[in-house]
This record gives sequence, C-alpha cells and structure tokens, in this order.
Amino acid sequence: MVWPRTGTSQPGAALRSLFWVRCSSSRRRNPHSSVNLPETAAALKRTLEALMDRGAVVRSLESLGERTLPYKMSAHSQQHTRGGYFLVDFYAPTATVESIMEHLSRDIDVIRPNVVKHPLTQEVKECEGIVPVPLEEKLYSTKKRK
Amino acid sequence: MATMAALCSGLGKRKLTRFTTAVVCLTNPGIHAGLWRRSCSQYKQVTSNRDLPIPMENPYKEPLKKCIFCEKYVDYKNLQLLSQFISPFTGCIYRGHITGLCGNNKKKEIMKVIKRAQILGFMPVTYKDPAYLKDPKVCNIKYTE
Repeated sequence: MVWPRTGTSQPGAALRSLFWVRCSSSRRRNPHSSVNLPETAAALKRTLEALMDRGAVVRSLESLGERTLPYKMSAHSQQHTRGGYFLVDFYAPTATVESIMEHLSRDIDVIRPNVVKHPLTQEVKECEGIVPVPLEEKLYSTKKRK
Repeated sequence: MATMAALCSGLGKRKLTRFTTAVVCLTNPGIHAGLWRRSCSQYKQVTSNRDLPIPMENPYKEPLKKCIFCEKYVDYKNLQLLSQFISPFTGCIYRGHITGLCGNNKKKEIMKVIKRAQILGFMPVTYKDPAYLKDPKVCNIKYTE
C-alpha cells in the first residue's frame, strides 16, 4: 500500500528531481526464531538489490525489532502472527515507486510492503494556537425562516 | 405649580434638580435672561476628548494557548504516544472535543497518523496495546468504573 499516493505519473516524471521515499515493510519470520537468520539477511539483500536496480539510492536500513503483529495478517495464502519490522531510507524517482511496490508484493517473505514519504521533507506548519470559537453565534441558526 | 410638581415627580429624581431650576426660572419671569442661560449651560456637551479612553488593542492580551502538538511532528511509529488518543475498550480514535487539539489541521493529522500506523501493522485497531494501558491521561475523557 502506497501511503500517501505519489500522484499521477507524467511522461516527464523521470526527469523530475529525486525525492525521498521511506520504505517500511514487515517480514515474516518463523516463530521462536531470532532476527539473525540467514533467511532474513537474504530477503533483505534481495529487496535492496531490487531497489538499486530501479535506480534508488539507499541511505540506510534500520531494524525496528521483531514482535507479535498487532493483528493476524494473511499474505500469500498464509497467516502470520509474528514479524520483523524493517525501515529502508532511500532516494528514488517518483515513477519507480509503483514498480518497487509491485516487486515487494510478489516477494513471499514480505508481509506488508509500504512506501511512505520521508517526514523530514515535509515542512512543519506554523500553528498559532487554539483559536477560541465564538459558540454564541452557533447557538441559533442564521437561516431565513418563513 | 401643582402641575409642574407632578411633572417633576414623573420625570424622576435625577432630572428633578435640573428641571426645578428651569421651573424656577420660568415661574419667575422677573429674573434676568442671563441667569436662565447660565443654568441651561448644564446641558452643554463635553467636546474635549482628553479624558476619554483611547481606542487600542488590549495590551494585556495573553498569547493563544497552544496544544500539545503545535508546530511539532508526530511520528507514526510512536505507538505509545498515539495509543493515548484511542479508547482502551474499543480502540476508536477520540474526536477533537476530547483530545483538545488546535484547529482542524491537527485533529485530522493525528487521525491520519493513527490510521497509518494501524494499516501499516504497527498499532492494533480494535483495542489498545495492554502495555500502554497505564499511561498518563492526555485526553479530556472520564471512564466510568
């Protein structure tokens, strides 16, 4: 699931400047097994290579730990209760996001692939504070009554 | 004189004094016209504005109260913070009148962030994570126990 949507794909999308995309995906793990399995390493390597093939510049890969999923997730005709969370920081052109998502959804080891915009690119809006709402005006409706 | 007196009582105490002076003037036509004009000078309006208050903004105005997340970024991975804004029984997201966040932007932003965490598989949807049940209350809600 791509959140938020990266917009319409225009013919000139590849020429646009790269922007940060943060990919977060939860992976399946066999129960009662630790993070440092060669299977997980192989799966991660696969995804990173796929990202780089599509012209992405990987900045960092973080592990958010392994835990029981908040709810049972079913992916690729299997039910998962435990999973490991990984966060990949990478630069990528806008047009390749869809192909990345396609590739990740085909991977069996990936339960829930997601691409998310990097939070540091978004500007923090200026907030004035809690503006007091005049409730007296809302008490009676100003509609014309015949 | 009787009619004048009746009129005076009808007008009221405040205007009584002024009217009595006028009445006195009228009933004694022998008095000089200048006296009549002097007593009527009480009706003159104040034209100078020196003593009146100057219109200006309230100098003791306090800056607007800011909510918890004013000009701050909320991460979708921050589960403990986000679970403070959902109900521990049903897991439904609290509305603006409970959370007390400023404006429509922050309320919607928090809702979106919580939704994102739930869909991405970080936060449970129908309940609150039991590890965060004993968190301090941020919202304006009272649970009946």
